[in-house]
Amino acid sequence: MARRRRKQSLGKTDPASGSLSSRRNQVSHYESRLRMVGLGLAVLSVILAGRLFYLQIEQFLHYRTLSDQNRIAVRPIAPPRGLIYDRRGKLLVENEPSFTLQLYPDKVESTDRLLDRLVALLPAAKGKRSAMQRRIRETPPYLPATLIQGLNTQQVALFAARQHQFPSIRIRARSRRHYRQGPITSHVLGYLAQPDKSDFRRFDPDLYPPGSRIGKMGLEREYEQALHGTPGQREVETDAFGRVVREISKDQPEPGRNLVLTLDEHLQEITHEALAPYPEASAVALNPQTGGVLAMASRPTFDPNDFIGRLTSQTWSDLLDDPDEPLVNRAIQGLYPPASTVKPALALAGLAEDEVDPKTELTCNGSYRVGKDRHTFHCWRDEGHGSLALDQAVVESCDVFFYKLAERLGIETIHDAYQQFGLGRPTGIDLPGERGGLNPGPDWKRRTHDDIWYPGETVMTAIGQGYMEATPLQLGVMAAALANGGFRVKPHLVRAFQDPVSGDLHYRKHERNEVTISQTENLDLVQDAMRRVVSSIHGTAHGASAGAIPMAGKTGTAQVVRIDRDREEQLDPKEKERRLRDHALFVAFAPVAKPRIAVAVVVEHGISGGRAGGQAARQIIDGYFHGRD
Amino acid sequence: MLHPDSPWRRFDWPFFLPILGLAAVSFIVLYSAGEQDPGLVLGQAARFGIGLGAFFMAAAIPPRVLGLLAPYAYAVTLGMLGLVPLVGSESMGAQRWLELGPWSIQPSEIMKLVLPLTLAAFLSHQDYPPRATVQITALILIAVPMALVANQPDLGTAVLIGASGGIILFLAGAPMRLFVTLGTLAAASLPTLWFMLHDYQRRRLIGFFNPSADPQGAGYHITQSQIAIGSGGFTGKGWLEGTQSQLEFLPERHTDFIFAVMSEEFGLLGAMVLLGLYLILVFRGMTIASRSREMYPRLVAGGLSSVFFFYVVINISMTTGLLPVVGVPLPLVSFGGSSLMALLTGLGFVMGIAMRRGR
Repeated sequence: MARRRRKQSLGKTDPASGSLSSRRNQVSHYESRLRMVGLGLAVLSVILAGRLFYLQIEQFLHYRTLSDQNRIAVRPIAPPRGLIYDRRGKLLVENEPSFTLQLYPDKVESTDRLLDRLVALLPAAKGKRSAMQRRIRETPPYLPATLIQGLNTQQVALFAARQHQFPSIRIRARSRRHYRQGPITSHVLGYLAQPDKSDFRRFDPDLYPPGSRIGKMGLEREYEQALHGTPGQREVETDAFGRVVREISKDQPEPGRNLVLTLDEHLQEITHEALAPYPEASAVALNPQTGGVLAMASRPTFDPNDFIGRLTSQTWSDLLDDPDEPLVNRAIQGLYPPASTVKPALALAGLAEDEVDPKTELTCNGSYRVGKDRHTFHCWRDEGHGSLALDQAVVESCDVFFYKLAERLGIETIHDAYQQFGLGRPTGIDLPGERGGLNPGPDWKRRTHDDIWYPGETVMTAIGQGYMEATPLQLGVMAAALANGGFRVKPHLVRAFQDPVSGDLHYRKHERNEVTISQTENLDLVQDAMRRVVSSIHGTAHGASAGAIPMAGKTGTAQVVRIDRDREEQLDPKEKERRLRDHALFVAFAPVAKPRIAVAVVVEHGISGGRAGGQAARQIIDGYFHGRD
Repeated sequence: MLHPDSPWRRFDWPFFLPILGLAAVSFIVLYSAGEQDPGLVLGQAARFGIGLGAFFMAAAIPPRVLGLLAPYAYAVTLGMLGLVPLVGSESMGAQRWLELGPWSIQPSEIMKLVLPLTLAAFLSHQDYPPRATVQITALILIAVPMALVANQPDLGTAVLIGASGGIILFLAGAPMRLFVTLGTLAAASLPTLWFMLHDYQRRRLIGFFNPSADPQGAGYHITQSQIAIGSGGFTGKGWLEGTQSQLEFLPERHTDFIFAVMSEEFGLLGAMVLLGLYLILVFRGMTIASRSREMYPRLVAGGLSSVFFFYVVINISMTTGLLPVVGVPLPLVSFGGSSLMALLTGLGFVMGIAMRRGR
């Protein structure tokens, strides 16, 4: 294209200097260049038109779908979670609104100035400035940043009144669980948290849209399905920041069902008070007729309100790290040797098998030799109890009497007797994580230790020591069976489900199984002996005799096995000494004539069942009947 | 009444009417893109009015005078460009503005207009086609402001300045091998250029070549813009009914991405009408260039018209995903004053040439 010929410029002031033909050539060359540029522009516009045709005609459906996906969002509507009431209809858990402030970054001129104003307005925002700034930084600019979570109604009202000064901040409301009794009911009710993968093996992930909570412990876990309900959803048109512009369709959620418990809020408080002097202790109180749990307490305890609904929680990690395991519900998860509390059950077995009769007297001189190696087993009372009958042996908790009785009965019979009272197996209470304890026997020994059963082990099992382990709840069930005339109840916490809309109550049936007791007179005898444990001057729980209501009981003192010597060494001497003390156990029921409450108490390192356990049981029972009967 | 010899008698209506048409399109789409704020449209209308004032003033300047003044304007603008890194004000990580009392001006925008005028003036006084020394001088005249602007950094404007110079050089008859060489050099320097780029520029480029790699980040603009255009279909979603724009999925709706708003709400039909208006305007400008008898007005009219259309191509290519996002507004339609002012002034010069083509 380039022309080699020299030409004079058109723009020169003297047009005569160039020939006409060269001037025409310049013009035609310029024209061709102009045409080339014009052609280039035309080609470019054809490309643009082609591109637009491709996007708007060829790919129209594709982009329309993307555009709809942009603007239409399906938002889940969380179902209101079921409430939980105590047996008298007192509210234990409620749903309270919890508010979150979210920042929409598109309209913010200066985050610093904005936060200054926010902190000046909201006392709750003080000290959270750096956390807020961090979250704004970490949130992508097209998403709202969460500034503060967990504001209550009063706090948010303060902000809402000044909302117009903060056009870039929005209030988001959510429902949060509030446990009205906090640490008093925490082990029974449990708490909620974000669901994780393991939860979705049991529960349908579709029911838990992002932001949902799921029961992690206690009744919240056990009755998750009933309490949770079914989320609804609404189809909405949103803008780029997720703000809803209009609603397209709505599908209402189905609220969760309410629970009415057998638990007595007042007694629950009293039980905690009764255990308050002891750092680690637990107690259960049952209705001996139905198995309904009236109170269940475990110490140390925790307050779920301290950590739920927070972004991060020091409280939570402290609870997890605490060696005393406050998150463990000792009433169903703590395993203790039941010790002498099993003696009434064994006495009944002796009478039923006719190995002894009420008049049979056996002699205790403080110790007893058993087996081929003549190993000596001691009575708790070194000087011995002398000659005494079965009822007196229960009252004074004579070990030698029961060693001798155990030798006559043999381990198989003892094992069966304990099993009848529910030992060695989970009671089936409606709480997750219940442990079954251990009711040993030759079969079990062979299976787990690959060893034979020794006569000395029979003797240990007879006084609830050795391999034996039971939860406080199992002891409560045993006490209930002794109180109700020989029925092993299935303990439970939920008495009825309530439809949140109609208010209709659906009561649950309670189960119980008969314990083989040959004659009712035998039971009367043992019950009377248990009455004298408390009322007789010789009784091991005589210290608990003073009270409003006649009560029957049985003490137990479990030897503490040293396991963690390393940890012991870290403790100060006084605490170390305390931790080597025996556990105090006590089972009881009242009133003796017509029992309406059965109680089991375990005080770790409480020294003796008669003192710590008896006093706590007395407080619980008197509290239960206070103002009535 | 106008004097019989007045150039205004030869006012070129076919060139002027598309400008008014584009202004009308601008106001209609801006009302929709700017959250239906009449104040925004009125403000832009006022800017357009001021721009038209500049248009008529530019048209009143005879091309001959323009050719005489251009080198001085070039020197002053170059001086201002040199001042920018020293006293310029910074926004969004780039220094582009000079504060002059209540005014803030963007010398690079002025250079977009002044360079073709100056280059045309220089080349029209030389042999046709230009000699090698003239070509080199012309290249220096282009390269210096380009480098200064690229350093701000404002790569998009630098490329546009280079392109406007290149078109003038091409129209002035520079040999084809010069452009082939320049093209080869530019292609060869691409890898080096990559390392000289700022992070945000690299992110933009990556976002362009692979928008799905980070659809919420670097690729967000381009993805949302294509969704807006594509979902408009043949007839569009209707005025004020574009979900991508009304629900704010589309960023920079009233400025760089206004074409996406237009295409979403008025579809392919609307886009074709807009493109048609631009083509009428530009080809009328080319006709004016072709009818002009002297070299300087020819270069100016041809150059300014094609550069004008070049802006259109870049903006639409950017919004449709053919080019990386470079931040070039859609001429006469995007919201904003300074670019409108510069463009209308340039078109005013072309009008001035049209009115005087007989002499």
